[in-house]
Parts: sequence; C-alpha cells; structure tokens
Amino acid sequence: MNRAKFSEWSGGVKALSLLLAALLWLGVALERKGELKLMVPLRPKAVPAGFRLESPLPEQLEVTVSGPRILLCRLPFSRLSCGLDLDATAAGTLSFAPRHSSLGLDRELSVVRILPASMRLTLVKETQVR
Amino acid sequence: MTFLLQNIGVLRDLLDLSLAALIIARLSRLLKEGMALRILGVLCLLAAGHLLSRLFSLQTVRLLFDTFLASSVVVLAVIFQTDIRRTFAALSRSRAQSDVEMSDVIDELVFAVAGLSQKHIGALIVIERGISVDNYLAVGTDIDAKVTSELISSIFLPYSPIHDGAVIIQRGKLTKAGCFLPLTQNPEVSKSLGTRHRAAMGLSELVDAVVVVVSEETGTASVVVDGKKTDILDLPALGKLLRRLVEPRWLK
Repeated sequence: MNRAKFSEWSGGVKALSLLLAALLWLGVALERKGELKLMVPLRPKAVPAGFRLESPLPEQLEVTVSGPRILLCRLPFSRLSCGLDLDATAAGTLSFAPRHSSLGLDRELSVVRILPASMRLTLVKETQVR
Repeated sequence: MTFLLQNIGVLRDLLDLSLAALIIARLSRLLKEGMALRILGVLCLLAAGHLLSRLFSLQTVRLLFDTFLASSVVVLAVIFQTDIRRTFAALSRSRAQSDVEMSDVIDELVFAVAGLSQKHIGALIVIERGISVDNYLAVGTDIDAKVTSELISSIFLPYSPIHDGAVIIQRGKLTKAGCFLPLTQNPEVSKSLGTRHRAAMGLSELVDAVVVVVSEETGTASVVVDGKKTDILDLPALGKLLRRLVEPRWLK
C-alpha cells in the first residue's frame, strides 16, 4: 500500500468509524423516552340509523403520547384518528371519554393525556328534529 | 459557564459520539487494511438496518438485524482471535522489554553496516514503518529470521546468490532478501549515485520506510527517508538516527 492508498484507507476507516458511531449513537439516543403532542381528528362512526348528533363534537383531540423517540418521530406522518363508536347507543345525552386504545398506537407507545378528557354528546332521532 | 451548563446535554452527546468513533477507529486498526473497511461497512449496514426496521416497526426484520448485530462481536472475536491475541500479548509486554528488543535490532543493524562499510561491501537494507512495502518488491527470497549482524553480512557477501538486492526488515524480523526496488524517477538526483542509492530513493519516495545503503565504492553508509539521503559519518550516529526514525511499534 503506497502513501496515497494508505491515506485513502485511513480516511475511509475514519469516515466509516464515525458513521458507525453515529448510527449506534442514534440507535441509543432514539430509544430514550420522549413526549409528543398531536392533534388527532375525532371521527364518530356507526351512528345508529335514523339518529343524528345534535351537539357539535370537537373536530380534533389534543393527544400527548409518550414512548421511544424513534417511534414518536413517525407519528406526525401516520394518519391517526380517534374513532367514536356510537353503535348500540340510544337517543339522549351521554358522556364519552375517548379510549386510548381507539387511537391504534404502537404497543410501546402510551397515551399520557387526551384533551378534552371527556365530552358530552346528544343523539336525537332525525324525526324529532323535523 | 452558563452556556456550558445550558448545553451540557449537547456536549455530553458530542463527547459520547466522539469517544465511540475513536474506540471503533482504534479497534479497526487491529484488522488488516481492506478487511477493516469491509467489516465497518457491514456493521454500518446492520446498524442502519436496525434503525430503519425499528422506525417502521418491522419486528421480524428487526429481530434478524438485532441478532446479527449482537452476535457480530462474538463472530469477529472468533475470526480475528489471532490478531486480538497478538495485540494483547504486545500490550502485556512491558515498554522496557520492547525498548530492549528495538535496541537489539538496531544494534545488530549498526554492527552489520559497520562490517560491510569497512570491507566496502555494498548493502541495501529496508526497514518498514507504517506503510507496507510488499507491493513494491520485485522478486526476492522469503527468509523470516531474527535480525542478526552475521545474517545481514552473509547475505551481502559478493558470492551470496541473494547479495544483489535489498534486505527487508518488517516488524522487527528479517523477512526477505534479494528484493529489487523501484528506482527513483527524480531527474534532480546526482548522476554520480549508483543503482543502489537510486533504488533506496525510489522506494522511500513511495512509502515511509527507512532505507540504509552502504556504498560499494566508498564504503559510506547513508540513510534514505522520503527520498532524501543523509550520509552517516560515524556508526554511533547511525544508531542514534535509526532510533529516532524507527519507533518500537514498527519493530513488533
């Protein structure tokens, strides 16, 4: 190996060592726990036939998620939504707290808080409105 | 001070990253040239694969990458056990002992050069340093022997079949003899210099080796480094110069 090749090899080893160290460091740093605040749209589903929601629902929920940063950094790009299952509900006013499981998050992520924590909604028969 | 305290996290991360890079670079020096690059490349791919599979929650792929990464330490230790053993053996040896060994090699060289110089026998001795000289050696006979003044003197005796070439000293051992070296292409080199000196200059222009030349005509000993020739007036000066130029690690 001549001088040019030696310095090329030495430079290559240094660059790859730095790259490997950076990748390992990223692996460790991104495993640290962090928190992320997200605005998640609220989607009512399975509204019983002949009924409609009278009270307006908030369009979005403010969800704070905690977990490894590597999983958190993917969340803004995933289409999260909070489903509000109204199946088997009857006419009247009911209090509803969004369930953490309804967000469909990774098992390693946990929901710290959801705002609003609970909401009241009124379901009325469409004929009643007319 | 306030700035330092405010950015202690960033500084800690930078220190963490730098130390990791330093450790990896030092460890990769234990391996042979191209092998280190290949292994580092594979490890980079494994680490990148781990990160990507983690990011996209590909559990099975992640399991594979994690298994490869975790076992790579053991696999590398098994593959390179000889190199690791050699390094630990060198580490455990005391510095005093290595100094004695270095002193032995240089003393033997100085004795040989003194004898050859006195008898006007031409000689060309290459001491390899950081950069390998193997790619520049044409022909030659493998020897792999301890450096002794008797061996060097007998190689350069005119009736020896391998006297017409260079003797190579690598890692404190006499590894080859009768090797032809590339001649210098420098037009500024004096025309009075013979082939032996031109060969010494030619090699030292390409690698960082130290070349000792004994002139057949004048009996003068010279040391050539980086294409520059230094004539040696007395033998203690040769020993002193060689000890300055050749670090103990290159004779291990």
